[in-house]
Amino acid sequence: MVSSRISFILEMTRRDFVERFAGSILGSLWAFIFPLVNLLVYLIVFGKIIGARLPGTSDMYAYGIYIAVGIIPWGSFSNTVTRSTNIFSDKKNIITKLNTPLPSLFVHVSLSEALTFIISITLMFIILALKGASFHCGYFLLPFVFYLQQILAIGIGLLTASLSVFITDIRQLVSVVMQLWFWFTPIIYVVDILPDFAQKLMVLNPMFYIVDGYHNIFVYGAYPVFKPLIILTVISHLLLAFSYMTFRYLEKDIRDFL
Amino acid sequence: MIELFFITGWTVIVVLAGNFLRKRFLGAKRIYMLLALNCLYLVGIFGCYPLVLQISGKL
Repeated sequence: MVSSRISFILEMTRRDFVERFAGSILGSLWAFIFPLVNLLVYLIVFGKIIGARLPGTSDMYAYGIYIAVGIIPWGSFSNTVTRSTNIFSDKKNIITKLNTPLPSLFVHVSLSEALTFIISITLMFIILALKGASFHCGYFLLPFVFYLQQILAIGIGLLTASLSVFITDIRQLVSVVMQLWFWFTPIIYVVDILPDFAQKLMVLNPMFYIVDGYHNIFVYGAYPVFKPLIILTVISHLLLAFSYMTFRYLEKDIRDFL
Repeated sequence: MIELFFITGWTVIVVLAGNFLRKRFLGAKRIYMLLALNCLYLVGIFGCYPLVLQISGKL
């Protein structure tokens, strides 16, 4: 039972990855080309062409790295939430024809996004190594920060997916909220430039602590701030438990509606 | 190196505990138990890592 679920999740993830580049000559190689081009754009455009500098650092590429290490995890988070929200309508054919374990679909989305994240972060490591950056123990925490971020994403996605079957507006609402959330998270700007009231509001943004964790590890050579991450871990798991409870309550109706 | 030992050791303990819970509980109860264990795992990592860093003199 468990092994069949695992093979179902792995097969869905493999298909997702292969289908994304199906028919193209370079195939899966595009999965490396896209993030590589993005990373080089951030580093070259912001570092060399625009000449933007990160406050407190003299490194020419620091701002590019700052943006890249914020956007990569944000992309995974945002895609997981958005794709999870639409998962029941996107996989309607599979759900109605096969006896699909619905929670497995969320694991497959998260796994698929994790794969993209791993590729991008690996390329980032290669660029940092070529730049001569030194590696420290904070890097060991990267998988855990990402893991926490994905738990939060699945928690939100599972809830919105369950509700979006009955209220379709939720799909559009999630896209809008994610857009606003992106700009409310210090990914392309530094939190210090915000006015006082916005900095105080930032305490309520869970993605701030996660993105800040990545920034601390990659840009400042420091460790993430642990206390907010512990609180966020508990909140994310409570949210996921609540979402799962809601999903279990609605599961029969979801299948009937589809 | 001590950091890596801590992460590996804690992961092994949690995986073994997860395996035990998986066999002992069924249905939704199993999911909630595993979720609680997962939460404990991450809290353990983020909570104890600073202590490990202090022991190794890196913090």
